[in-house]
Amino acid sequence: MLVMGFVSTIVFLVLYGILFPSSDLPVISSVLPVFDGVFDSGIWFFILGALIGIFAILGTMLAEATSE
Amino acid sequence: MGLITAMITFWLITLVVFIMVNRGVWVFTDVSKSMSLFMLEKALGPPIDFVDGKKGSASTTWILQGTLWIIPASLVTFCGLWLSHDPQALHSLTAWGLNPASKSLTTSGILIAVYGSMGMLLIGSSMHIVPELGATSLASEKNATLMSFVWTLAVIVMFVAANNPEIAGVPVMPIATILTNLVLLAVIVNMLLTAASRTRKMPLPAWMMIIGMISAPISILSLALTGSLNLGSGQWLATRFSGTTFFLMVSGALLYGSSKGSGNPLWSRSLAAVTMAGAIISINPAGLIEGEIASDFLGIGTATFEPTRNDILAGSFLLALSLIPIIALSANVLATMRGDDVFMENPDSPGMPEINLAAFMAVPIAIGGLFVHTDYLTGTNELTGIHTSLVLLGLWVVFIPASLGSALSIFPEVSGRNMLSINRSRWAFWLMAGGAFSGIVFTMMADFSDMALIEAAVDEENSTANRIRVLGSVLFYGTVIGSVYHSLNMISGTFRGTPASEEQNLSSTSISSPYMLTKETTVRKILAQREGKLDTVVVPESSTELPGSATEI
Repeated sequence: MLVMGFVSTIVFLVLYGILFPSSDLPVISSVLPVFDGVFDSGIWFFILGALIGIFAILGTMLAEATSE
Repeated sequence: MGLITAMITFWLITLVVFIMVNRGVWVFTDVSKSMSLFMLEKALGPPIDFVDGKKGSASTTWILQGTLWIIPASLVTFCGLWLSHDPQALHSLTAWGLNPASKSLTTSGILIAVYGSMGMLLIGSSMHIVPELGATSLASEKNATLMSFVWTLAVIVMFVAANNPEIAGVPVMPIATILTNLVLLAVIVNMLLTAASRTRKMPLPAWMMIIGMISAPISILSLALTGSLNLGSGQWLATRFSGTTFFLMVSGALLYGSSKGSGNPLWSRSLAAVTMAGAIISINPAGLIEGEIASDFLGIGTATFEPTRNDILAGSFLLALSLIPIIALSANVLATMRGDDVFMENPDSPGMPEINLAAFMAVPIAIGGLFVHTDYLTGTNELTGIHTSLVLLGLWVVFIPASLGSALSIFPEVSGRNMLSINRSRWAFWLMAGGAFSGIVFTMMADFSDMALIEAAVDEENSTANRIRVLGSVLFYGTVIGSVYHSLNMISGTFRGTPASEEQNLSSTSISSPYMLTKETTVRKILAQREGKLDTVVVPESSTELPGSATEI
């Protein structure tokens, strides 16, 4: 499923590039500038670490709840 | 009206409410009891059916959410500390319309820690402690469980309000106040109904938690009745009263947790009474120094702090008086824990190191808070530069460990399972405690350095202080990791932890003294008991088919 999703995304992006050349992607283009300047400061590495921790908790909850 | 008038009104209303609750007047008639129970459950309609009503579910839900809130609380505080030396570190977030600053992040970190973590952990603990000490069950597990999610929503609104006070011209913080008060009202009614159905005399820790909760609306009522809410001194007092509320709840949880975790009876009931009465009579030095936060919560204009001479005198005296309940609490908790020689026998029991740290650090930090508040009250303002760091220190080294430690010590009983790993629990403690203590102490050193330069009227940027702040914020990151460890340990424990019932020892023993030991014991523990002597006879309680004899020591 994960591979299928990845391949579908790539196919969609390629198709969009062919059909609407030099056009920004809706929504995503306005979100991506957020990442301009990210990692300019060391704080982002710490935030990334905390996010890994938060996702570890979410993953643990999902894994524990579905393990049986 | 002056400060002392507001305080007298607060004392009187608290006394009246305590007597009414204790003697069973007003809400405790059968009609009002069934009416209140109806309002808590059936009146809420379909939403109440979304939650489980089995025993312990409310407490577990509140404690789990409270523990999870420690992560964002510590992370936001960490960001606030970082931005104090690198204000442009999060500038890329402006693309999302956010403009985080050190002050707003630190304030929102404090609010999340107080209401999200500490508040939820304490309310969750009270939902176990009050029924347990009253030998009854919680009046409405369903309502209490449901309300935890509304409280979480209120904390999210609070976080938004601290960073963006107005959205479309509407002040956000009063919305959080309305939500928290709605939940608090439901929780108070639930607690009163529980207390009304008690089958034995309820010990003081349970009353501390109930009166602590009720003192929140009483304090605002007292200030409103005396017309002090629009005054600077009244708003300052409102902030102090929130300290009283949380101190009373923390005291109840600490006393119960230290006794439950160590297996010892409470060292002194008189000291517990002193703690409770002293907390109500005095002005607590915990919390932010300005009354601005109270006016934000209430949605009223911030008044200038201009205390009269009488206000200064009465305030300073009542602030100094607060040391008595704090010392009484600290001594009682430490003596209770050591009564069983717990650190020789069971140093790693989850929750006990946190309780020990909180009880140990409460007195020095309270003395620091006393100096800063008296300095502010008298208008000297020479120490106000360190007050944010001191509030953070009190929060992360006393209040959060106290509420978390108490919750950890009762969690196996409410959830039915132990923490997944004692080793991970120990690591989490050291990371949280070490990170918070060292990180904030370094930040405080930088504050002192800045204060010295301001006093000397030096305009240049203080590079030394900035370097120390870098160190302080990086060290504080240990708290973030520790909170993740605690959360992981607790969540995994609820699924795979050893069942708490397995710990119940079938071969419990009792010594020939008023003390009943409820689990297996050692010679060291028996000798550590005040009545345990070399010739103490230990008789096994369990009966077998085999002929028995006295157990040899």
